[in-house]
Amino acid sequence: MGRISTTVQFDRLDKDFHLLESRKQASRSWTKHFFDLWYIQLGWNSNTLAGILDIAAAARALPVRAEGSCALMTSSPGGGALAATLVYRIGPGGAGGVLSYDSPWQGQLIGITVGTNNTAVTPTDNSLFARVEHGIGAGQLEYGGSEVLAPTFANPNGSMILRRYLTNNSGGDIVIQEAGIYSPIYSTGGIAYIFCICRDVVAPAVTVATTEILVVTYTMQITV
Amino acid sequence: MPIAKIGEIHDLKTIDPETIPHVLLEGEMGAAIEWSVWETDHPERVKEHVIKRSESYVQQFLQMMCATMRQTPSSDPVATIDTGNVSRNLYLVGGLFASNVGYQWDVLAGAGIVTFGIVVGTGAVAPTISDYALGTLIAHGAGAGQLQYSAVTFGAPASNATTSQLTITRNHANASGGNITVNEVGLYCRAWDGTPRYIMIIRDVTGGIVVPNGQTLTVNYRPQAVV
Repeated sequence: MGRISTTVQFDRLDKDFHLLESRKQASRSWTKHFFDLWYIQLGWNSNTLAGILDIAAAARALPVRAEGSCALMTSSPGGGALAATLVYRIGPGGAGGVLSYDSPWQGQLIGITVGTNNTAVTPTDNSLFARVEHGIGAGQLEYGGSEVLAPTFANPNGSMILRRYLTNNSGGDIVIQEAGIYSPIYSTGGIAYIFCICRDVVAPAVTVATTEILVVTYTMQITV
Repeated sequence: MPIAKIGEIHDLKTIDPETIPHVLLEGEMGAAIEWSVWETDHPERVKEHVIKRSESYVQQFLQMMCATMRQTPSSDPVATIDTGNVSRNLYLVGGLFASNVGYQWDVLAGAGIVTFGIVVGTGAVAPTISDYALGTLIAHGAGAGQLQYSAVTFGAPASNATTSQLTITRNHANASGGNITVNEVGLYCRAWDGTPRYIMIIRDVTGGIVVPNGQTLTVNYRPQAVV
């Protein structure tokens, strides 16, 4: 009771979407950056932070813009490597203009992400250690959109699902040993940067063979 | 009878990263609720001090998180019950917007404001996932049965080798002339559906916290995660 319990599930499918393997583990690793971003939002137009490391390990000041504080914690971008001008959202509501402005972001850098390094998690991890890039080259996966499903409730529980499909067309096996969630937030001057708000070591590792699909599902559950 | 004042918060902006107390197990995320009762004119005279696990994130918490993670636009709002038991179609005003609109999780209430921030009440009914408000909110004031609400303050996020957290704090001073028993504590935030709306995200039933006249109840909520 009284906690937000999170699980992360790894479903491995063949190219015809037949289930080959399904495994679930406790997600244990919401990082300090989750609280950094939430702190900005809780203290509307007032709270600020400096020296917060983004996924590129660059120190950023958050968030005040001339127009007011705007904090984003989305994990619902489009998939793949998107162009410089992009509309991130492909989730419910269609291509809303919420984030439709020029940005260096890529869809693969927002939402659920996976990697190949199993270094133990610390609260201050600012990125995955060896993130798998989007693509069809060696060691790459094709990132689908990162979904945020509507929460459901049945007293005393409530839950919400975050999910992403990743397809291996690299020609070889890819061994997944870490997973996490990346999220953007505005910084000073209206520029947005991306932060790692959750990182989990995947144990045992999940090996995704070429042509297979990996479905990563984070489930947040509350219980009163 | 001494005149009760809204107490000052001690410096909570920096938390020693080596000494973060937590109430969670390894791998958990949740919140601690901490309260103390002290003499309003003598903050060093603490009568009661309790730290425990916050028991009850309610459904609006997940609905707000969903709206935030989706960056939900007005064309696809997330229906959420406000503290008046009215369903509101909440959405986010991302990108360019004017100050003081498009609230998301705002708990930074000023002194005397009881529509958002940490709030206290006298209801003692056990929480359910669908609770949308305190059972009986204690009003701001110095009249019978009232408490004087300070402004909400924060302790910035901090972490040590295993634990991350931030702190939300509010004082409630009793100048009513009599004892007041607080049985429930909640966290209300200000959100947006084109106009500000008030949403409860946590409700805890604490058991009776007696706040005598001339004393102040300080409540800290500390959202935490332990890796």
